[in-house]
Parts: sequence; C-alpha cells; structure tokens
Amino acid sequence: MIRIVNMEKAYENITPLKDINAVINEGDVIAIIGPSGCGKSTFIRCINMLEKPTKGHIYFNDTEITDPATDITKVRQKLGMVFQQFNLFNHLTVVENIMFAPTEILKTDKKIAYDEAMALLRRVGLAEKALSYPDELSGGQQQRVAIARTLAMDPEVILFDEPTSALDPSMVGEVESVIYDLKSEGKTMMIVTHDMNFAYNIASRVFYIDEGIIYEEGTPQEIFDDPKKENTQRFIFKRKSIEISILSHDHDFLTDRTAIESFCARNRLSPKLANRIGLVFEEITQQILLPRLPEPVIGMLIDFSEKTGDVIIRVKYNGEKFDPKDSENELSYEIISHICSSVEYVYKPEDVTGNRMLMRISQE
Amino acid sequence: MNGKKRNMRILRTLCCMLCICFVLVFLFGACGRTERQYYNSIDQLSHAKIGVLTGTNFDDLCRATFPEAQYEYYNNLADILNALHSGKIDTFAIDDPVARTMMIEDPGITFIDEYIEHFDFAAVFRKIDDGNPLLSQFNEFMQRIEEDGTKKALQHTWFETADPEKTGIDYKALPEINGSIHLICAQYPPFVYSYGDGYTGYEAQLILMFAKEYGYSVHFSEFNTDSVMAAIQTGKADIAISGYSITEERKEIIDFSLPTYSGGVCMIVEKAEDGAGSSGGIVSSFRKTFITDERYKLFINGMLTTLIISVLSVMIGTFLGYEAYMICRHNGKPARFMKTLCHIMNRMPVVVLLMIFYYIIFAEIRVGGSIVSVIAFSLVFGCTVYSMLRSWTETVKRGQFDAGYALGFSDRDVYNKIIIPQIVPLLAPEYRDAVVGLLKATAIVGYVAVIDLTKAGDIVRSRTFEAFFPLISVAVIYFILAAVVIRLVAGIRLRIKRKKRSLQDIIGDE
Repeated sequence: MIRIVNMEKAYENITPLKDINAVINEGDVIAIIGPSGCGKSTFIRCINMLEKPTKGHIYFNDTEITDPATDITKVRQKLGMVFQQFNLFNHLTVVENIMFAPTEILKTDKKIAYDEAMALLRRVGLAEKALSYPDELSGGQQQRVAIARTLAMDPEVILFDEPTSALDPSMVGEVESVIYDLKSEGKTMMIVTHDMNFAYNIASRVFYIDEGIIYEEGTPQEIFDDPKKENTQRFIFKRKSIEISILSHDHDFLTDRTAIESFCARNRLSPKLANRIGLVFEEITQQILLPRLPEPVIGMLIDFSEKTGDVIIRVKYNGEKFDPKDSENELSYEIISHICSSVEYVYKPEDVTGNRMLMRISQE
Repeated sequence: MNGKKRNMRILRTLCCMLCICFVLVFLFGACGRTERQYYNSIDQLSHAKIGVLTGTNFDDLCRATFPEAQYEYYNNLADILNALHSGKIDTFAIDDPVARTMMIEDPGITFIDEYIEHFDFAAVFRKIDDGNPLLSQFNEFMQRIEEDGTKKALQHTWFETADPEKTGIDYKALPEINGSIHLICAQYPPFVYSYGDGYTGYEAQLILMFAKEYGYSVHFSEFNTDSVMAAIQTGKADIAISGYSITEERKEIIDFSLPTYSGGVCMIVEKAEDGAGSSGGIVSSFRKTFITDERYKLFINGMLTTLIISVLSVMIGTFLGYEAYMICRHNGKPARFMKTLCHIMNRMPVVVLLMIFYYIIFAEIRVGGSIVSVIAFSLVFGCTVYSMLRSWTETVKRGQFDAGYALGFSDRDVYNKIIIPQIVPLLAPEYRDAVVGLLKATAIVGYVAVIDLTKAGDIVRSRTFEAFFPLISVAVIYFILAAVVIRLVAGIRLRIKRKKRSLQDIIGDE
C-alpha cells in the first residue's frame, strides 16, 4: 500500500533520516518508536509530504507521491493524519470541523455531510458536543474530534503523530480506545508513540528508528521482549530502569514521583505495584535516611526485570555505617519490610557511599 | 453597541469639535488685534515683517527693496491674507491687478500707492532646443491682438470693470482640430481662477481665444504654485499661466511668451480706519463659501474625488497586498523584495512618494493626477495590507496549516478557507484604522493637480480670503466621510463576533 525507498530527509545542519526503506501493507498497524529526536515525527510527516524528503521515493498504491508532478492534495485526501496538538480549526464548531473537508473538497451536500459527521461524533462518543467550539473541550475530547475529522474523508491510511503525548494521563485512555476501535475495523494505521504499553498492544509491526534508519523491525514481541541489535536493546532496557540521586534536604520529590510513575507506565506495571514502589521510595528517603544525614548523598536505582516480573531497588548513601533496620522510625521500616519480599544491607567502608541496600518487590 | 447609540455618539463628538473650534477662533481673533501699526508709505516698511508667496519672484524683489525686514513664507493668497489680518505679518507684495481684486473681496486692506517694481507677465512654455512651435504660434497671436486692440479691450474688461464678464469662452466646448493643449495654473485672480466647476480669468481667456483661433482643445489642471514650474519642465503640461513675471533666472529653465500684461508690484497693508476686520457674519461666510460662483460644486466634486481615490486605492491596495502575500508566502526572493518595498513605502512621506511618481516615474506618460494618486496610494495601502497579513498570519499556529494540508486542501484553500477566517476578526480594527488613515492621507493629492476636498477648500479660501469657514467645512466633511467609511468596513466584518451557531446556520442553504 505504501512503499518507501531510500528516503532521506536532510536539513541544513542535521540529517534526521538517512536511508529509510519500508513496505506497509493493507491492514498493518505500525508503531514507530525510538529515542527522542530520532526523526520519528519527521518520518511520518514525510509520508504525506508535510515535510518534503530530500532524496528517495514514496509510493502510495503505485502512485509516486514524491514525484513533483503528482497532485499531492489528492493523495493527502486518502492519507489521514492526527496530530499531537489536535489542530482543530478554532473558528468552527465541532461538527463544522468534521463537515469542513467533505463539503469544501468533495462538495458533499451539507445535509448529508452533517449526518455523516454526527454519525462519526456518535462513534467517538461526542455527539452532544456537536455545537461546541474546540476550546470548550478537554484535550482528550479534542483529539477524538480530530480523529473523527480525519475519518470524515474516509482515508485508506491514518497517520498518528504522537496522538496521546499532549494529553493529561487521565485522558489517554479515551483516545486510545478510539484507536483500538479503528484497529478492530482493519484500518491501516501508522502510529508514532512514546507509550510502549500502547505500542505493544496495538501494533502488528514495530519500527524502531535510530541512526537515521529503521534500525530494527519486528512484531511487538520481537522488539520489546527480545531485541536483537545493540541500540534497540539499550533503548528497551533503559526504559526498564531509573536512576535518582538526592543531594540536599530541599530535594524536589514531586519530580521523582512523576518519574517513577511514568517509569511504571512505560513498563506496564500495575498501578498497585507503582504505588508500592512510590511508597518504599518515600519511606526510605524522606522518613529514614534524610533525618539522619546532615549532608545527604543518596543514589537510587530502580530496576524492572521482565523475566521474573520483580522490581529491584538499590540504594547507596553516605555517612557512618547505618542499617535502616536500626532506625528509630520503626513504623517506616515496618512498611518497607512489609512491601518488599527481601531487604538486604551491606557496608563497604572503603567507599564514600558505603551503605548499600537492596530491596526486592515482587509482582504479587 | 446598537446603531442609534452609535449615531448619537458621533453627533455628540461632532458638536464638541465644532464648539472647540469656535472658541479657539474667537480667542485668537481677540488677542490678535491688540496692538497694530498702520503703514502708508514704502519707507515705513523697511523693518516690517513681510510675507512672501512661495514660488514667486516677490521674494527677491522684497529682499532687494527691504533688506532689513523679516520674512515669512506662505503657500497661497488666503493664508497670506489671514496672516496679515492676524498680525503675523505687516505687509506682503502682490501684483496690482490682484491687489485690486483683493480689495473688492476684503474691504479691510489697501495698498500703498507706489510700485516697488514694474514687471511683465507672460505665459510659460517648455524649453525645447530647436524651438517650441506652440510658443511661436502664441507669440504670433499676441502680436496681432496687441496691434488690433483686442488685448486692450480684454484688459479693460478684466481690470477696470467691477464685475467682468466672467464666463467668456467655454473651454470645455472647444473642438480638437489641430491637437490639444494641457494648461496648468494656480489660483491667481483675476488672471486665472475657478468659476463653478471650471476656470476663467484674464490670462485664461487670452489662451482660450488663442486656442479657438488655432484649433486647439484645452484641458485645465490646477497645481500648487511651487510645483507649476516642475510640471512644465518635465513636460507634464504645455502652458502655465498664473501671472508669471519674466525673470532671468526663470528664463534659464523655461521659455516665456510675449508679455500678456505689464504692471507693477505693490505692497498690501491693513486699512487704518477699519480695525474691526472684514468678517460679515456667518451667513455671508456661508454664501461666499458655498453659493457665490457655484462653489458648492467644487466641494461636491472634491468630496467625490476624495472618496473615489480612497475607495479605489483601498480596493486595489487590498488586492495587491493579498496577492503579494500569496506570492511571497513560501518564496524567499520575492519576500525579500516586498520587505524592502514596504520599508521604502513606510519610511517616506506619502506626499514625497506621490510627487516622485508624478514628476519622475510617470513624467513621460501623460496620465492624470488622479490615476497617479490611485496608483501611489494603492501601493502604499498594498504594503500596509501585506504587512498586516504577514504579522497576523504569524500568530496562527503552524498546526492549523498542517491540519488543512493533511486533509487535502490546496495551498490557497488552506489560506483562504482556514487561515483568513481566523485572522480577519483580529486584523479588522487595524484594517479599519488603515482605511481611515488613507482617506485622510489623500488630502495631499492637490500637489499633483487633483482637486480633492482639501484642495477645493484651498481654492475657495484663495477666492474668498477667508480661512475659518472653508476649513471647518472641510473638516466636518472629512469627519462625515470617515464615519461613513468606518460603517462600510464594519459591514464587511462578517461573522466576527463568535456566537452560538444553530443547526440551521450550519447546514442552512446558502
């Protein structure tokens, strides 16, 4: 359906895409992942020529869309796109946003277009908002309208450019469920995403982009559970651990909590487990260690092992030998030992941060 | 705000403005007449303040005669006369036939019965290296009427009768047998001046008699005194009249005909016994300003000219600005060119720009001042619209364009159907101000021989020697025009206020 041959996109001082080759078949749902700045969004914007590739060819149903003679507007009508920032037309009501392209481009009768738009709105659950303006809707609702707007042109392929990245976490679900719904219908889709959980579940194939090429390609199981190549492994593995260091009493714990939460989301850990990790983190740092250390140097590494499903928290800190078991704050230690399946402590006097702890939290 | 309230507010503002004007006039009038010295001989004037009409040779003449005096410069007779009455100057020099006419209109002045110089008036022709054929024909004609007494009879009619036969030959009906003459003048009664919506005067009639005899049709245009010479030099016009005296300096750049009139320069001063001034009440002012010589026609035509130039310039300018923006939107080179053009347009006084267009760019082509004005103002307005579109388009998020392209709209449709509807409500107030600004800026087209509203007011002032009434009339008319224009632009602002749209609005038949 879409064939990409030797595509390159170069800017003046950076070349994000060097040599992209890919074939997308009808019914494919492609998740495009990769480190930040690797060119994922550039890649997907090249497919409908919002960015013009500097070299190579893209074919859509045997039409070469990179050919300057091709009427790109005609092709774009069959290549829907959903944006990170929704990009609804602010001067139009919700239903007019959806009717706009059919009435203006396809010259559909307004009454028919309206009925179709309402059917689409019902499908994304927003029929009652038909006469509202985009800025009166929440982010999730706006994104659902944007998907409906794209569907109104009945595209053969839909390109999603980080559809949930700009959303409040509580709204991600409603948008994702609309996209799952499209998958069940057999729509061909390409989705750029940071949400590994979503990518794992929705994709039929995953493209991992790095070093300007499709670095590794495979089923979600192949890419996420058993990556073959070095960069992919590092990318997939990195998301399975998180490092935190605390160097002052005025430390910003809120940021750490958010980081831990998103770490858990990335690894598809249950909210219950996420909560327990957060609790252990707070008790050990805020309740037990910080009151004892006048000049704290605390390092923490949280690891998730896919194989066993266990989370391992390693903590090292400065000061004299101090086993948290001996802490005056017995309640806090009680909580930690209750949550963790094992807690180990060793002291290595030759090191500045000689106190070492290892806590293991099991999935159960 | 509803219409009624708005009209009331406009009316109130108008009244306030008028009141302020009246109060100011009376205040200045009262202080102006405190201490006054009256003159009755040339010798007394050696340290006086002397007014000079720009573009005349009275300057050199007065400086030679009164080297110790102070000088001030004025653009037309009405201004210089008002300066005399308000005490800004003590005297000014003028040709004796003009002095006589002025005394009829304004009983508050007189002239000192001593010429400071004798002079010869002549018509002005373009200097052409191997002889100007039109000039030879005219000189031949002058020679003849000198000999057969026609000239003397004409002078008698114009300078020695209180109310000369003003109509004379109707130049609009002259047939074009051997070509046409483009005649330019500045108001200089009784030599040449407006009458109704045309021109007459002693010199005007001389030329018309000549044209009739030699089979030329005649077109008049009016210039400010300071731009008449330039117009002749650049070939914009064939003949200029307005009592030009023959000087050596002028002979270097243009040619003079045989003298049309020989007379002297005298000094005008205030009349000693008449300290109360010449104002004959508001009714007489109104009559002089609008009724006498059918001057209301001047105002009406002037108003229409102002309106037509403004409306055409706004329309063409909007179109040009929009098209230029469409061309420059994606393209670096034309965009840089437009940027430079906008810089030039915005940093230059429009009056200078207008004169450059008229005297340099369109110098060789005989196009009317009105057309040149429309071209110049269209360009200026086009640049305004271009900059407006550019800056407001930048406020629209990139994503709005992306969404439009991704849905399959063409480049132009994305801009016209998605971006324009979003920025029009934002730029509407700025656009309206620009339109009103343009309307006011057109007041300068008098420099290129167009009689717009301002120029009509000037002409009337130079005939009635009254400042107050014509100026206030012009101000009021501009105010009304601006109000009308604001209304019109407000009508164009479609769907600006965002309202709840009903189902009917959305699918309604268009």
